[in-house]
Amino acid sequence: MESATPLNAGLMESEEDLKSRRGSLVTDDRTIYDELIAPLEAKMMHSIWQVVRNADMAEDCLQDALAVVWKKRFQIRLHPNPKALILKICLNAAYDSLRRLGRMRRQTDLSPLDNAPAPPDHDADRDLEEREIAEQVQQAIRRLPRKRALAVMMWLIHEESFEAIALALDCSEITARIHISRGRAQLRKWLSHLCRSSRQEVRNE
Amino acid sequence: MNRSNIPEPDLDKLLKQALKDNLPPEAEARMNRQFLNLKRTLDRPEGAAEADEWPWTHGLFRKEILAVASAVMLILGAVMHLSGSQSALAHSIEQLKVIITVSMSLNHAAFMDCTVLNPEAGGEGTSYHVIWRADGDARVDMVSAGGAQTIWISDETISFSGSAGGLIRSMPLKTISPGPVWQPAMEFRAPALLAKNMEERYGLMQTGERTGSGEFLITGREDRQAVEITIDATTYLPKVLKKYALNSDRANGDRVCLMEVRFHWNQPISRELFVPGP
Repeated sequence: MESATPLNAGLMESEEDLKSRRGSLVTDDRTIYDELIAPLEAKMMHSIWQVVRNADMAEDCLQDALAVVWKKRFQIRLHPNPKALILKICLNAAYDSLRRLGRMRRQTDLSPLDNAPAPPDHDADRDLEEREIAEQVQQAIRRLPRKRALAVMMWLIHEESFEAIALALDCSEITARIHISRGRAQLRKWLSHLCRSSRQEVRNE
Repeated sequence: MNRSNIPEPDLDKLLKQALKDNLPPEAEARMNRQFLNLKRTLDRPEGAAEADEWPWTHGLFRKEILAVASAVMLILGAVMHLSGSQSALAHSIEQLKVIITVSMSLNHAAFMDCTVLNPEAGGEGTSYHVIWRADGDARVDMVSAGGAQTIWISDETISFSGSAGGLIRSMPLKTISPGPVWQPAMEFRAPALLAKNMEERYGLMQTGERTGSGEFLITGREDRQAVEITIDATTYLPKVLKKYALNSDRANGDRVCLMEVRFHWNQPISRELFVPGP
């Protein structure tokens, strides 16, 4: 043992030196924003929109997602794939929003199309059909368990690799593949009637 | 359903069609507004503090928790109205609410930087600078008339300079603990410890006294000392903690401050500073 009271011996460093060293090493919040969020702004907006497809909901979702990203900004910076993690947070907010919408509709028994603006006459049928399909796909997504839904959406919307999906979901690559495979199998089952009609359309054309 | 019944391309086509990327300009403008709001908050001089508040006011927990909190408050209000002991109950609830919120905020902190001024330690004014990060590492710098010393504490290990100065030694925390001269800083070496002390040791008695805009004061006692903690009303994190000798309370005019601790929260700190070394 070098000394009986080792903690009383120490490094001689002035308070001024310590202060200046720390000052230069602190990262300000604007830099974090510019590094983490700014390059992904467009992608965040588009990925949320692709899922919720409603301006009010999209704005709310982005607000929620930004709040989570900002709260977890220090952890995100240390994550091996910050981009995938941020996009997962966005899709997570969108998924929550779909589920909330589902609950609300069950309670109020409103048709999803009641409040939608009427489409122009010449495209009325087509728009209506597209909206119905989108609505059924949204319903199917919100029925999926969260991680399965997120994995499928990351794979489909962002075309992320299995590795990136695994990192964002904090699971192994094999688990990510299983989430996607099972998620797609469920979607296939629930949306089979739409797939058939889409095949029929192609045949008729 | 058999995979071969519905070929994958059909499903992918259907999903891509339903989730197609056709963001309308109106929705894009509204979402851009959210980015601008956050950036504007960050660009203001007081941005750092406000940005930490941002999740609470602009998003996270905004709807659900506020709704639950409102419902709880309404019920409590009704209970208080019907019962006779309104002020005592309201006071207890208020205390509890504040302490729980502060405790939660402390337990969610990512970085802490605090300065402990302790005029009594060592007799000649000793100051400590404590930095901490959420993975459990802490560093304490002590400056006194006798010089400056540093210790680094991680989950299981404590590191310090040997008597020769430059050589850093690490030992398991089980086998050695910092000497008495370090004790004033030890209760602030981690936010969770401070939260525990606030709940268990400080015996907080009074809450809600406003000390200025954006802050409020909570007070308590610890042994023969009065404890006053100024809390940031937006983040619910402590800004200043002061301990006074109880026998020198307000009646005598100036109070004798035994300890003053000033906190800064969630400003990133370089991991370099947590690595033991000169």
